Amino acid sequence: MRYLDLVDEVCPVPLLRIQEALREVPAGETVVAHLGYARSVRNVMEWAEREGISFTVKDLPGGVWEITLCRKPRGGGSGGA
Amino acid sequence: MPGKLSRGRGLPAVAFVAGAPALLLLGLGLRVAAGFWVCGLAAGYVVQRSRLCFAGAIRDAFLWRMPSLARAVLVLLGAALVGVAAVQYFLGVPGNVLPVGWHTVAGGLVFGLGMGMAGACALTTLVRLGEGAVVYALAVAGLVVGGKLGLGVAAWWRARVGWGTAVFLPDLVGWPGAVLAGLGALALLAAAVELRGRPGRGPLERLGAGGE
Amino acid sequence: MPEGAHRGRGDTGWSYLAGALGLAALEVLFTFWTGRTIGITSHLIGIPVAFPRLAARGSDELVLAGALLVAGVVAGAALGAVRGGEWRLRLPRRWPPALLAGVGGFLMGVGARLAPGCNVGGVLGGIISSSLQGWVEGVFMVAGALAGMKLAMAFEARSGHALPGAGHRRHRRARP
Repeated sequence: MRYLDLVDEVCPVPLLRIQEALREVPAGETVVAHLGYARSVRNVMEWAEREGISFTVKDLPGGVWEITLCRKPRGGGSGGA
Repeated sequence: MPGKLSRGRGLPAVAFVAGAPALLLLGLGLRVAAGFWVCGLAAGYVVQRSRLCFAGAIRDAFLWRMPSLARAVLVLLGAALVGVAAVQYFLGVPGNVLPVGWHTVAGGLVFGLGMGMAGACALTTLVRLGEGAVVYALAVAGLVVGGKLGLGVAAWWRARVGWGTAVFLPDLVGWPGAVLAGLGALALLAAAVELRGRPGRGPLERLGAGGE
Repeated sequence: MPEGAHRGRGDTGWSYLAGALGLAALEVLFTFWTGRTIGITSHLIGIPVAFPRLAARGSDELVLAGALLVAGVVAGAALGAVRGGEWRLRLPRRWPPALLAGVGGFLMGVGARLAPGCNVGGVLGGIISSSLQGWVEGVFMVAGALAGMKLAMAFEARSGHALPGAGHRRHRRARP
């Protein structure tokens, strides 16, 4: 599990860091990020949905959102992590 | 810090702070000032709540093929175009018809460059500041300094290079024509944005996301 | 299917569409009242903008009104954030965004006087007023913005994660 504290980062940094983390992390492992702007949350959600990456979002008090993303491993074991 | 301002609890106090100046100004007979304050409040509120972002619309649509913000901006343009055209046509209201010339090209490029670098436009900068993002105070400071300098640059340009003239489209192509052309152009942009939003190659492959 | 916390959006705010329609309505009402569309940068530097439908006003009141419009946007946004329980003092923890904000703001300030008009007054206002200037500025603004974004992203990549005091968490937050 990879944790990213992106709470005071403004667009487009959150999305860029999350993309980076998902690239580096093996499939099946989760990336958890804390974001500080609803705009960034929507941004990441829209991107993840398009990429077929599953995620959940928690709306925490005080303007913080927690997003958990997980890239599903490809079935068939083609190429290892 | 989460706390007294979490989940709308400070709302009555803030609403009072927002409304009191309006009443004060009205009391002083400054109707226009009061109205502008209220308009600003409304604009800031709407943009903050809906998370609209012009810079985001451009970035998402072009760099990541995500059309949702751009779609909303185009709807904003289309709806407002119809509304303002009606006000212009039936009430003779002028609207913002400014001179267009090479200075517009230069100004647009430079403004856009700044917008892309800051990650926010003029409006969004103010909204983020209102949300508590102190870093955008720097952007506002930049806007003021740049603006003052810009007055000089514009004056120089006007004197040495020349300035354009206002081109009001209905004067060129008549009334229904201008509005239809405008809406048509927006529709074309919307189509382009939607097309670009079709899932394609690129990020999908790089991440090896599941499903084909 | 995405499990957003609220209405599939992840936050309790409005939809983009609602915002678009709200802002459009505001623009039309403002234009009806004053004779011009909403502008930002001109008021930021205290230019007394003359509004055709506001019977001749002293430039003092116009400058004040402009300043209040700008301040109102900030206040309205603060109100919105409080309403959504999201207001928080957000301090930058790195220097690159601060530099980008300052330089970006400066360029926007200069460009807005040349175009003339910023994205709200010039582009949005121009397009909805059926003025060619709005379209022209808009096209080049988009081009400039893409260049600026690429520049900003390259700059961020170069300056690394530039986290001063990485590992310091000033705010207590639920760590999974």
